[in-house]
Amino acid sequence: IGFDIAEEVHLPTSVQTYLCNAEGQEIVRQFLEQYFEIFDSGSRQPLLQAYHENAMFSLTSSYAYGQTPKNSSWLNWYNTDNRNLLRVQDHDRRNKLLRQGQLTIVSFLSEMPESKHDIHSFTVDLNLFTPQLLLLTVSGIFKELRSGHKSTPIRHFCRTLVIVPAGSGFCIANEQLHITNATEQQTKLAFKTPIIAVTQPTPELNVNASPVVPVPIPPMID
Amino acid sequence: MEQKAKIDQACRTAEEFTKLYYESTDKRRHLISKLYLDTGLLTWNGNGITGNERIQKFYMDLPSSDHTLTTLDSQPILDNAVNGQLSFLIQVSGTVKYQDKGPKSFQQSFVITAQNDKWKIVSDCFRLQEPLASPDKS
Repeated sequence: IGFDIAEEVHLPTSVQTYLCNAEGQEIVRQFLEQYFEIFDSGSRQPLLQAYHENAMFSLTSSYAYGQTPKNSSWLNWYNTDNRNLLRVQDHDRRNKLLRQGQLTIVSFLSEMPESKHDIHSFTVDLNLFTPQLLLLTVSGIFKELRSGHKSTPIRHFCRTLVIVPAGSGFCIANEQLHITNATEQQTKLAFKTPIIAVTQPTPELNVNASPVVPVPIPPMID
Repeated sequence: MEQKAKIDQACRTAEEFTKLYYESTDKRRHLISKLYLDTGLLTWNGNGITGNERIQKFYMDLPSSDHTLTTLDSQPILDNAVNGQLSFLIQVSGTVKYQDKGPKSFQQSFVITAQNDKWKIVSDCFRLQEPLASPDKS
């Protein structure tokens, strides 16, 4: 005879994509496709037009649960610029690690290790969609190329983006990027879905993306 | 407000906010709705819950939790995105145990905004760090 207290933990089932407004789907899809195509290409310079002139960017990094520098790939490259407020107490250092302005941000992104993202692993949450801004969180898997590690590091990332309309397209106003190593389960499944060849050239960022449709939703922040 | 002062405030507020948020989630869950705007949004592993009353109900149904933070980051959101209304973007990572089961890694991000002298959550987005389909099931 047992006890009437559940031993199993029942959590709600995970869903890959959440869109607070279906109108945002096409904008988000185009934006992510273009952004990661450039990010994974030989040059990240074209991302200049993906950032607002006063944009802010910061990076945090840590080993996921159960991971150490001994049993997983080193995160040293990222830890140098880790703006973890739990560790970085100095105000000037906190200020310095918050990269401001599109030139500063893209020059930092250009120094990051070369990467290949697995778009099939992406989760996408479009949390706000107003005429003023889109709030987007994307997470997924990427591998590092030519990074000098013995075996190719498989990483997990989580990016939160505040995206604002700019001209006929959009640009990033705020971005936070978190990088850690993929878990064993994530690594097993990474890059398993064959990538479908893209036959059409991807339009330039900020040029062909459709402008924000004047959808009848009240701004969340007024 | 001067930019540097705003950045300092974003950091300080994030430290206070996350302390209160995770204490409430883990120990005083019945009060969690007070932290959200009436129209606030919680996205929990891709499940969207709108409105602080529904969020309250969602939390009451969720197994008990114990969060430990590993990283914290915060920025002021650019004025033109929020019509000059002071708002911060906060991202954390850490581990969470549900009902004393093994810890899982998670990342979570928030937008909080000042409303009548109180910080309120506009958006709260939570994701466990795990593949959507487990390898045994595919």
